[in-house]
Amino acid sequence: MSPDTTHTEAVRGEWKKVMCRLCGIKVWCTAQMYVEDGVILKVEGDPENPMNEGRLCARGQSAIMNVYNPYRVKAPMKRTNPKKGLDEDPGWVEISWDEALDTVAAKIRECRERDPRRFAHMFGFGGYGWIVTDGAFMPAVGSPNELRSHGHLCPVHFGAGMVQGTFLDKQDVEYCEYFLAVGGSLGPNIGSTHSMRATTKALERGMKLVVVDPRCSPEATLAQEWVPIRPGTDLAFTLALLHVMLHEHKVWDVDFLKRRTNAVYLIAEDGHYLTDPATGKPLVWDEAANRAAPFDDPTVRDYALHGTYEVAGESGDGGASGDGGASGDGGTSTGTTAFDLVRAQMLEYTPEWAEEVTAVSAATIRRLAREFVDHAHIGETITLDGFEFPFRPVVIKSERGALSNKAGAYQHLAAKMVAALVGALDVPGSYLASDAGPSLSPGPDGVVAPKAEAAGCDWSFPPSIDLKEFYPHRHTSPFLAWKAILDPEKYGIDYEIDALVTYAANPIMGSVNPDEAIEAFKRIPFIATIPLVYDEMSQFADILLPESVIVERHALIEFGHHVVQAADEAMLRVKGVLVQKPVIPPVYNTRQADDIYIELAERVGILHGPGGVNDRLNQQLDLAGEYALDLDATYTTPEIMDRILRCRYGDDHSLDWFDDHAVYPKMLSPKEAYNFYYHPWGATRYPIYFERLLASGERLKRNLEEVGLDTIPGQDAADVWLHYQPVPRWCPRPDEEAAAEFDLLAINWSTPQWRMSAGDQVGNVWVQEFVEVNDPYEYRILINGATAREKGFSDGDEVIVEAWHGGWTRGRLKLTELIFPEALGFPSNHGFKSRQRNPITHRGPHYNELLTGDERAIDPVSAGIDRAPRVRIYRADAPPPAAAPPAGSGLGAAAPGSAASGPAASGPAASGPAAPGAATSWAHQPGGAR
Amino acid sequence: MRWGMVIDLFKCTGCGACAVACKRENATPPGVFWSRVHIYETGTYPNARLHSLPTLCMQCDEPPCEKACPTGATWVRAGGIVLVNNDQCIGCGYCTWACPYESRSLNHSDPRPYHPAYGFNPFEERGYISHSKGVVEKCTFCAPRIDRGDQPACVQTCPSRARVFGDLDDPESEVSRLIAEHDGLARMEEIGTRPKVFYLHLRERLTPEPPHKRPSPHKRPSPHK
Repeated sequence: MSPDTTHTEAVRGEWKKVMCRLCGIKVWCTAQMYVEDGVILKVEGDPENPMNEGRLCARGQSAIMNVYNPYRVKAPMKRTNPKKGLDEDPGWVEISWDEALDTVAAKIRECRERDPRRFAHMFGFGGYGWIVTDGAFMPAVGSPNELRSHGHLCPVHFGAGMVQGTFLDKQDVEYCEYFLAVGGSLGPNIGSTHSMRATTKALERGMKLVVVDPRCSPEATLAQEWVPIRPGTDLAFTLALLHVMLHEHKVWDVDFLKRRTNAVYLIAEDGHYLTDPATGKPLVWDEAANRAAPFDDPTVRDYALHGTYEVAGESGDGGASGDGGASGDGGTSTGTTAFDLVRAQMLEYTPEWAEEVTAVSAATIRRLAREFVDHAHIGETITLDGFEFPFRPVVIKSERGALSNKAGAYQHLAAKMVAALVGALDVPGSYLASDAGPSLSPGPDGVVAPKAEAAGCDWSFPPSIDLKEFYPHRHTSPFLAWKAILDPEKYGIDYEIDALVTYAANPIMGSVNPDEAIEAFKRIPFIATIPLVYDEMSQFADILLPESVIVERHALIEFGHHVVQAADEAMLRVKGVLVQKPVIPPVYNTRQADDIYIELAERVGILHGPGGVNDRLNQQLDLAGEYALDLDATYTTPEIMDRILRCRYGDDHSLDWFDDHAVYPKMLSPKEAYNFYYHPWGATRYPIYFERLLASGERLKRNLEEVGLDTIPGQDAADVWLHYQPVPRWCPRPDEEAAAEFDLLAINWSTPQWRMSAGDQVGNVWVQEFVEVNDPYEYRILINGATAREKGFSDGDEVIVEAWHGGWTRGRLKLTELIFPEALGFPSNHGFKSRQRNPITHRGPHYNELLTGDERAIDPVSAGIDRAPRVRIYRADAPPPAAAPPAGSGLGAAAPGSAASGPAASGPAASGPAAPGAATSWAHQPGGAR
Repeated sequence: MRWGMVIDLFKCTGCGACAVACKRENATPPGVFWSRVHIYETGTYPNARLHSLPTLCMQCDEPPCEKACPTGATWVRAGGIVLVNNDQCIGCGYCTWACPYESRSLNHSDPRPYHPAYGFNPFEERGYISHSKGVVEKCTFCAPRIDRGDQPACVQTCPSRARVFGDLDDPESEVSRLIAEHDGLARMEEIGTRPKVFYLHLRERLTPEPPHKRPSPHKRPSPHK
């Protein structure tokens, strides 16, 4: 007999198309599922989707176990034990949906009657997609306190918005010939189906890949070169590249710098643009005519890239940003080209200096800088669809690993500058804006108008609970909300949070300062959460409103702009929409989040009428005419989706069309994939001198002064303004004062099997089992073999890792040659802590405990978290060495061994219910694969 | 017709999609893997590298497992696919000792659910029927999928296209071409098992030398002018 152990495909079954969504966001795969008698028996990739081309990663292949996960919350619940804590049993009692929704709605109503700001909402990456939650619900409530639990460990938006006018960036490996990855993955690190394809295809074609990373990743192995670097020093490396390019190699794309950047703008002594008094436009120097002229004066024959010039009668009032600036008073002003100022700033960052900081040899830095320039094909062009583009097939990609740093905003800008010097932005082969389209539209000063985080949020005081007004360029800052909730007066906040609703957010595991989050949650009188499983957030909730998994619900996501990794032509060209209809009825008594929000809105009384959720959805989704929602009607989620689809994609692509499809792709023509096409020569300029950052800092300073503050509360003034300078510079690391015993630097990285915790993938038994059986690194703490031997540690030793600021975690060492000698590596993030979770999630160290959101440690611009903290390690079974107390300041967790909350007092797993290794294990059992 | 597989180790990034796809396709119970990805390192810092080596039944032309089987339960199907007949298997386990690739496992017990406290879920209830106690199981090259014209699940899903499946007897097939052009190797060829699973760049993945020596890239004509 043929051992056909597969399920027999009886005629009663059928294949149905679905979204995947098991990685969180930015990977746009669809799948097909074989369903028989309401049971999902097979999952495969959807061949219709140009992104995944029928493929699925390990997460997608494990979708069945995501559905039939017995640790899901199976019905609405209310708490009966008023004591909240990770180790407490909440005493959940099942209640009806009516009781659950009425309870939550009553709390929101109470807040609205007293002061809407007392209601906060928090949202994260754990969800499957949403329509109603994003931007409609909270405005209708009338509270500014919309928190996001994700993002601050990956501050990737500021630089993209500042330089390329988009939310993110991506890399064109269809044409790239030389790819320098500095703290960022091309895709394999996170198991992105299409970026893995694009990457391996490019390598096969002969693209040269250099990976600068403290750890040898899968793609560093595939690369021609792995360049180990000291964690947290990527900025020094990048500044040294700029030094070599500007002061040694001296080859740059002159045409691009003159015609397509603000390198030729004249800068006044105060750092702002010198401007033309008549038009207010920034001035350039015409070398041919020997005169100043507005940047867009068509008579300029040759822009001066170098030099300092006396300009008569210029106002110098700060350019288009309209801030500060020299007052010319009709006299003469002195202006130096932005390019010269950038060059001057980079003079000190020699490769020899960088070698000291980064441990990358000066010779290597010089060679990489030259290779990058030499592969840029400066001056060459490529024609696509009859449109001629500059051809600059080089990429320097800088992402999470390099940007999660106290000066991460500068690193992002510096990496863009490296690309700009050779003209490798938004043209074939280069570093691209994430959104194909007119993202490069200029502001009044002729420079790409900042978008999203780079544009900044409006000032108001008192600030929102997550203090975004103090950090106008931040993406998210939930860790600051905990500080503000615990000490509102410090931040000028004159109210407290009375109720919080959370969805798909788990800041206790996925953010920093978990102890502060817990204290803040205990301070909030009422919390409701929309969970998938009994996660850490549920341990602090009063009501649970359980969500359905992706295959049990509807979802709609428009895509085409969130590709953040290496992209091939298909990925660059595709735009479209993913739509999900339920393929099975809910296995348990759950609902989808959008339906829950609609129900809540109706019960609170904010669904209907002007300013209600329907009205906000019409505005947010551009639903007009026959597709607009009637303000006084109540719609289901699929009814809203149908209107969105017909409004955007025509009546022939209504929701019904998606009975047989999960994706409606719209392919751009090849030229439309590159934003140079929308803004060709003469239509825009990239900033390489960040006058806007200076102006933003000055604006923030004035706003603070108006309310009697000389700096951001908790921040050192000089330190803040050091990060608001127009040219990136090296800044002191936050832990430089830490005691010498903190001699290692803790880093982590995404692993291909887990990402963003969407759909409780950490609790997925198939993925978990695969990793446990095959991967000797996951769940361990990686230490360089020589370092371990020097310190007297062996493979498998259980250790406490303690950060300079007091946070700590524990785990088992894995000796390896794959990591920088001073680094301590944590694959992914483990050690989940809710006692009601699947116990397999409890194992392994909780890396995020080693990070801090203390104001002095974060990037004052992006509010990014430093992800290379200094740490020390010692044996878990031995008392901590008598060392000076951490130089931190009582932030985060108490220091191990000190006071009552450390491991010495309350046991090694004081902050978690299960010691590593205590969880049940099925690996290595008899009968397993040998 | 000889079905064979090529795995390009310069395209494998160790994501595990193949192994989980196999688990899903064949509903293998906890602890049973027909397809694995060994993750390991070679070399010394800073010349170390992280590797992944996907494995499965090598579908040998001279299968030692077949020779070791006392009952004839292990047999070779048309196309060269080595299979086990559950009805004839007595669970002696000799084949698991004979297989040099450790590709077979003996079920010492009936399948257990992944979440024992919660019993079998609906997928497990239907999928575990043929994974009974006392039989040996292994990769079948997804024979039922091949028979209906599909590729094996691991090949179908591989995101980086590291796996290719086809007819080794056809010199024009992609598998034959890849093996010929890239010097494809089978594991432990020297012991005479004649596997039908071939690897590209196997030597580079097994030696401590960093894989700097990339295959000479077949560069396409420069697209710029």
